[in-house]
Amino acid sequence: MGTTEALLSALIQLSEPLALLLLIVGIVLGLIIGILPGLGPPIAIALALPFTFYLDTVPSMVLLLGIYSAAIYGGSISAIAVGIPGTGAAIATVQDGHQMFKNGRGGEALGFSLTASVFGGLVSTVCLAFIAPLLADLAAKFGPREYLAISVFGLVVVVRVAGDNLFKGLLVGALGIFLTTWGLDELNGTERFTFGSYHLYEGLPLVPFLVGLFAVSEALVGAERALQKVEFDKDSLSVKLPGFKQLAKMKDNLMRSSLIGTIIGIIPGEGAAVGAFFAYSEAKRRSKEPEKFGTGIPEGIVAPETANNATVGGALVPTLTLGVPGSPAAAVLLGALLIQGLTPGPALFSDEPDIMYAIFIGLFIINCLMMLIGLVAIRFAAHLIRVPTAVIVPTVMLLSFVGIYAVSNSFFNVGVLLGAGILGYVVRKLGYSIAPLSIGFVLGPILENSLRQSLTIADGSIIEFFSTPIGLVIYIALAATILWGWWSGQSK
Amino acid sequence: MLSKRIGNIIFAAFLILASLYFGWLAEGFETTGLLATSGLPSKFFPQLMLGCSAICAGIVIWHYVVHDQKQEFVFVTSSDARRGALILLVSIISYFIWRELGFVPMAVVFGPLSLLAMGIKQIGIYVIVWALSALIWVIFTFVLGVQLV
Amino acid sequence: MKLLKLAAAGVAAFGFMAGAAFAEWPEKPITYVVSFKAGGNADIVARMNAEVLSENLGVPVNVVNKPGGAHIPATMSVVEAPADGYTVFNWSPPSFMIVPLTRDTPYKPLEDFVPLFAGISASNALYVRADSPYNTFEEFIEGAKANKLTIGVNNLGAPPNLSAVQLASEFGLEFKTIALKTVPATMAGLIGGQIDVAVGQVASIHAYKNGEVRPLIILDNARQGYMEKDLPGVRTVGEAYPGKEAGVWVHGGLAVKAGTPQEIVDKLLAASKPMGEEAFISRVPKSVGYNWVHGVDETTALIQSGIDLYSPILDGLGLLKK
Repeated sequence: MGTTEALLSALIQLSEPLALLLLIVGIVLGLIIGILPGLGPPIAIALALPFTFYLDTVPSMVLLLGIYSAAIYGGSISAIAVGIPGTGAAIATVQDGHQMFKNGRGGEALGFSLTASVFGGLVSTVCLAFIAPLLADLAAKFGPREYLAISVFGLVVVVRVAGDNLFKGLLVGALGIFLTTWGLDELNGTERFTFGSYHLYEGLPLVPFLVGLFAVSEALVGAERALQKVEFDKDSLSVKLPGFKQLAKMKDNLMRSSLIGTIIGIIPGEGAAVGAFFAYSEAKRRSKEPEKFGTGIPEGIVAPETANNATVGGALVPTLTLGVPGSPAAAVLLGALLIQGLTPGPALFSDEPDIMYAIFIGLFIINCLMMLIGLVAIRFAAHLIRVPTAVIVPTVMLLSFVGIYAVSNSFFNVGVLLGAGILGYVVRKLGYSIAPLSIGFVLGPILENSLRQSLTIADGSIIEFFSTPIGLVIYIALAATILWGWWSGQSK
Repeated sequence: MLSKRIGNIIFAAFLILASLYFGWLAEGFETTGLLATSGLPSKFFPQLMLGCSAICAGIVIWHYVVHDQKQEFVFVTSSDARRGALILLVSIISYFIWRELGFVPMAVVFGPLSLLAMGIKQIGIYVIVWALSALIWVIFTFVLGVQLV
Repeated sequence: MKLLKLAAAGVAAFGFMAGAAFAEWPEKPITYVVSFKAGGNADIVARMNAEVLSENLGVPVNVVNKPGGAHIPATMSVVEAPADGYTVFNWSPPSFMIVPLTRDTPYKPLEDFVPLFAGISASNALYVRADSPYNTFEEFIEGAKANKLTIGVNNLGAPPNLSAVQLASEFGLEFKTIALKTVPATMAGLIGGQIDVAVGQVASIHAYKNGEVRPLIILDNARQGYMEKDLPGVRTVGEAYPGKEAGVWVHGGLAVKAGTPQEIVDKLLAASKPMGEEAFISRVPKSVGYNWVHGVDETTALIQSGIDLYSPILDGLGLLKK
């Protein structure tokens, strides 16, 4: 099949009414699931997977891709309007997004997050379409030593989002990493802190922990102030999309965050949450007024939201070209491709070019349509500030309970949710930021396993430990940013 | 009233004690399998992280003892503290109701109990919360096909 | 609504006493517990199975993934559920053999479960990059004796890892073992140069038609008919070096908790019949092996053969639970 024929075939398959309908259904479904705390992109896609048994490849792909993109975006709506990230991807958005909402700029904040998400999604789609094979090489080269380098970089990010007190941030960051060591040691099966319960063999589950940390603690903090009237400005309810001038001012931020998101997406195992944090901390570091981050500024929404949607296109690169999913959600997507009788791998591009084009173009259309559908959704979301806190608190609690139970069928996980909620509540009340705690919990397993496996590879040789071109580049970049930060701090 | 300073000192001291305890637990790890011959023992990484957080906790204590003498409070008013504590209690009780009696009884009492904990008097809010709880049940049970027990 | 439920419960209770038990089964959704992550081979086939069961039983069959923890949390969630056929388990070599043989588990596979069928299967093979200096298995053995090579497996303790450990002990080799989480990731790691040699599955080759990787040998004793479909002409260890052991046993399927009423077992068996038919098997992804075994006795015998195979292997490696 030639390129033109393949393109034509892709367009024909996409323009069928069923494909278009599923595209819209996917976006709406993804938005709803994204907004709900506890239910994230992987579970959203897994729920829709059985329907694809009865569909052709292209309609099932646009359905799942619509869900994926919209679920990642949807998380930011609850992050901004309620202060609870609907998905892990939106954790970094809470800080400035919710603050801006409370400052009476809710409609504007929602407009920024929508525009940024669509922008990030589009850029990463373009990257996917034009340089996927090139990028696939990068993904295949990521081994333990490279993961170690990027995780060390991630730790520096923890420090940067630590809040006012560096040591308080480091403290909870280390605590977050420590908590991931519970359960069976992945490398030799040793029981660690299992307290004799097999429930703890897999350690503390990620999603219940994160949802507890954010949603339950937010509900508890909210309950304290349940009787206070929320002051808001009527104007803040109308959704404002950022003007061209505003976006032009942020073009560096947008482009940088898109690239960070795409690259983090490509690296298998690093999800949207990590990409969003990297972009946020990078935007903060590059800013002329880094102290304003966290007080409710658009830059603090644009960076993570651009990046987390950019991870979608990035995550598809290794999924399609290597058969190695770039994120948990992409893993389910990979399953859908296999069910369709396709074998993701280096040969997929040459074997099924029309399906590849359909995925690229479909993803592009999804992002454009998400703009329209998202606009309707945030019109409602902006009005959430009218809802009394007393209604939000029990509803969010119940939703978190149900969401966690639905994914795992496990009361143990609901218990972890509550425990993490109490932990989050205590540290927040004592003036700690929960962002480093959560990012530590996300990065912990990668950090430990990559460190230990790197040592296995090095087999006692320091040269072997560092003889990785990609890893070296990362370490040098890291050293440069630290030195630069120190130097610019000195010269001020 | 609990001041931020005292609260932080207690919390950090508690963390140091907990780190010691967990570090001691880690000494007892037994590796039976021979599958992986990785260079680092299983206890290394958890102990490293515990060490980091204990050192940071020490610095935090020092900071509050020596530098930060501000009189800030953890809770703005005592009724704030009461509401926070009560709603926590309600959630824990509801968790056990769900485990022992099932989801529907839990969903029925959770809303009203938490509103009582917050001291809400308007009947309208009770009705709204109840309706929302029912809606959540309907969506998960019938739309998503999840068995909530 | 509630009254209706109450009435239904009453009728069910009455039916139970009258002996016409479970004539109504199933009357609510069935939970299908999978001890692997969503999206992997085991999960895909489990979801296809769930779909067939749902179609034939007329109720939703929801797949719930409970990965990790040496498969114990997932297995125990089924053991702790009532034996009423509403919670079924996707059994696999780790949960039914390797883990119970190597460590203390709170369950005993063949006492706590009744297996119904086996479908998904696999054989392992050794792969190198296209530009690798090792052209034959013999050259590889020489090379591995001279240098400590890096070998990639999916997870430590999983069948590919056991194959690698067995290879090392049979031929007196030493490897640096790296776990790359999934079989495709292991193959990608091979192409990317992170590892010198990878333990993949015989069916993995279908993703690399452009010749990025080369198979060296099939890590098995005797030749099986299905190997020819994936790796025609590639020898097994048993063929290349008679007397050297290289056994693996990878099958997976469905089990219910022991004590589940016979009527329910029969209904599940009847509902799973289409999974052995060509219409279903042709839809199983190419990169997944499939070997259909149906019936409680047949599947139990199959699982017992796996236990008999793994016990001496694990014992020889010093891993068998004492």
